[in-house]
Amino acid sequence: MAKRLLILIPLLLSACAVKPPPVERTETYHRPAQPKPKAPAPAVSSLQRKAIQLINAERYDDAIGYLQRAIKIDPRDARSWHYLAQAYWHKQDYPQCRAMVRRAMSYSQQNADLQKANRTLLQQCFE
Amino acid sequence: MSEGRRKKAPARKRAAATSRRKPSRSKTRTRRPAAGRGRRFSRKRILLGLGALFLLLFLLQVAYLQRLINARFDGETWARPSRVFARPRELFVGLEASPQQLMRELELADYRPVRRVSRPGEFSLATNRLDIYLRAFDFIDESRPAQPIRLRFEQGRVASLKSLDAGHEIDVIRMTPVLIGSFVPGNGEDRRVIDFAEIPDELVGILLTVEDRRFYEHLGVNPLSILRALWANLRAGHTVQGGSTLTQQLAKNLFLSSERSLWRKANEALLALMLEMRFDKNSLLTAYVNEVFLLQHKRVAVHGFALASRLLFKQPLSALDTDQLALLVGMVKGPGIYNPILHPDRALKRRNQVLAILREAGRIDEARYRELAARPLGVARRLPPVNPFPAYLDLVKKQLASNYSAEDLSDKGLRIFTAFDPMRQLALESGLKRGLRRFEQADLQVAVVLADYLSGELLAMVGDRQTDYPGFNRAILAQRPVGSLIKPMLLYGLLQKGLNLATPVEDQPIRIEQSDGRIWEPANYDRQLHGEMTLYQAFIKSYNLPFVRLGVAQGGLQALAGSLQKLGLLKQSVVYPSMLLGTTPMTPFELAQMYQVIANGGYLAPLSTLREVVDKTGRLLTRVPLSSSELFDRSDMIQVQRAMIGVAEEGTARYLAQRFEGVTLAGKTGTTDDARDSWFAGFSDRLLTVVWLGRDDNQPIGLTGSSGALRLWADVMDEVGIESLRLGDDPQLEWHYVDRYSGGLSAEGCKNSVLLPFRKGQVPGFRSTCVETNLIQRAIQWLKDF
Repeated sequence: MAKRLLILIPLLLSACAVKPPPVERTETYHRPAQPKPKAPAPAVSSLQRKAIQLINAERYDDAIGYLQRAIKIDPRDARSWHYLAQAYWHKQDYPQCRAMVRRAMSYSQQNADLQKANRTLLQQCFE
Repeated sequence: MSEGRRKKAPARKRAAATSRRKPSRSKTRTRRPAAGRGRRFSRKRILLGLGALFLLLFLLQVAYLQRLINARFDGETWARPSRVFARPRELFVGLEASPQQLMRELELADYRPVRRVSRPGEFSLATNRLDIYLRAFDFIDESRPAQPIRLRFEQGRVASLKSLDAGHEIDVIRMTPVLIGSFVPGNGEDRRVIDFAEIPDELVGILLTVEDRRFYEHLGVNPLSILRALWANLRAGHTVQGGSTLTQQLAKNLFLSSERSLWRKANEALLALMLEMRFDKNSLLTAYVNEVFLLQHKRVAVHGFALASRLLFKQPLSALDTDQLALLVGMVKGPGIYNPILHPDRALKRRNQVLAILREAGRIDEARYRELAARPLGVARRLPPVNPFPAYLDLVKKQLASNYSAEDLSDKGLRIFTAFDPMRQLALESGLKRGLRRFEQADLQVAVVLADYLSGELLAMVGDRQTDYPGFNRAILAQRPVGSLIKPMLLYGLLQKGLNLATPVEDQPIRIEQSDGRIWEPANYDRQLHGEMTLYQAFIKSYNLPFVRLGVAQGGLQALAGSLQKLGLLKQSVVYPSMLLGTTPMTPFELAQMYQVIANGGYLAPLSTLREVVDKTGRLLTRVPLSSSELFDRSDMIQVQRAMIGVAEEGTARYLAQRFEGVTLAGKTGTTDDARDSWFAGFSDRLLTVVWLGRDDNQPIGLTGSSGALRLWADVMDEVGIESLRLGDDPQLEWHYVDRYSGGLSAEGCKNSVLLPFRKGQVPGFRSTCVETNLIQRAIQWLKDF
């Protein structure tokens, strides 16, 4: 208890000496909470599904077309960028693969699984 | 020239014959009968010679005409102008759009409002419901058949999307893209070429009834018809009736001038016969339907029924009713005289004449005739502009130029799919029109570039205050000093050099000796000095002196030059300190590219108008891939973006915070010397818009970036639609409140505190007085509680 008082005394003294200024609020940017990963819109997931089917059927150019449509609807959906990178990887267009997977990574920071998949794919894009 | 040679040849032959007969001539001089035989023989030979000559001339003419026909029909019959399409709007549940917005786009795509949709090309609007009968369309990846769909809306979004015939839900479907322009060949002829199967039977019926009833029977020329016309014309004393068949008319349109002479008539008949020998009737009819000249629309000659139908009725030929077809067929007789826009009375009279002919021929009965003849013309009051969006189309052409020649574009019938967003363009134009009124300067010019910075797609563009004027496109051609619009890139360079947003800077005068020995003394725009502050504060207030000082002392100038070089925007080999204040000229388009990279967190997506180009058979020729290269450091770019949010909230663009309350936006104002150029570049959630205001003669306009371009930007974005910017995050960044003047760590609620991102390890190492005071306050509170 005595120890506590010892700490408090100088503080109390300084409080008497300095009159705290009124706290003023300034209008400034308040950083919004980062959005949590959400399920893609039905339109986007529908296009992604079609694109995956096309990748499996080795129709990579068609798949790229569908994924570009998905990205134009929601450019922040990391999955679309990831699948796009996959399509380019299959096409052996590695610079595009790397560019797309990096975009995927910039949008998937809240999604650990996807981020891991992105890192693996990025490695493959360099091989 | 060739005719002259033909005449000489027989003369030489006659001379040769005379010289050979010379010896016998003296002997036969007194022998009359022989002489008579000689004359008869000679006359016969002359006749034969003349006959041969005529035959030769005829054959030469036939060969000449044959060459004309071959030249026209071997390969492409018509130069097919390339068509430029807007991006097809994707429809899906969750799409933010009102029925009215979609309706506007449907009208642009020539869809018709009806009570209940029953045919492709129709739509019907009810409260919160929109039915569309989508037309069939060949997209690159699929041929979508015509399909009726129903959209329901709730709270400004599409709440459900269903197929009307199958009843099932649809995840996503594309609307028919709006045709935004075409590249017409040098002869100014525009047409939409259609196949025989696409010609409505009713059009064939009306056309043949009016122009050539025996088309399927004659051989190209109808002597009876010619005699009948001749008789009618003789009786009238002037030309009242033409006897030409459709084939003759086609021959005339394709190959001959419109002069009235016997020679031309003869050629016409000959060509008609030859065309009939070479082609079947249906092919000739198709050629006629595509070739016939129907309308002059400014500098463009409208050929063929299909294009005339689109322009006059905003509908495809197949959707026209009898009276509309009758008008088009009636116009064949005199496209100038019966132009329904310029001479509606004459056109109406002519249409009803055609309807009367149809009634007489038994194609329609009296009641139907009365009904149709009572209808108004039903044509558009004004023809749509030939090129309503010249600035955008100009850039499309420029961006295609590396892969396609001008002839490819005007002749080969390419289909060019672009990123153009017609709704945003119209909104932009409307906002611009409204906004420009506030300045009341007739000579004030404007350029606006609107892009989706995440994909790099260029959505809309204006290059002149008169938006449909196809003149000097300032958006891509006007090179102007950019003023403080350069500062975000300079700020990035300074961050790269190890500074942070809370680095204290001095707003003090500076004198710089330039390489030519002259002294440069920059000043702030307000000619005042503001003392010590953070880099952030200097940026949002756009003070010049701190930036020049840092640019020179901290290597900001070299960093800026390096960044511009990466963007391909460094235009001079020598770097001058005045570049720090944006003396380097750029076009609005180039600036938009620079800001695309900033808004996209350092990722470059080259601004493009193009998506795909396909040939007339649907083969894909070009696809512009989504491109994204990491050009700049993401974490430093996020700091730049944060500073630009400050500009819009509490800096030179704080007007935005008042106008769009609660919406997070980022931007930067720019003003050049003597207020000659007023700039604003700003971005919201996905959209980046750059606005330039100035005069072509470079005279001062009396507007700063804040009082000019910024206001206009707000007017434009008010119409285009605005969404809060979501600032990205990066694992390398941490956020702290700091004092905007001292740069010391502060706390939320403290006076002058501001929340800023810092690279890990660069967080300010000292506390502001507010934090210290707060600590005391907290201690007192703790004591009271105790």
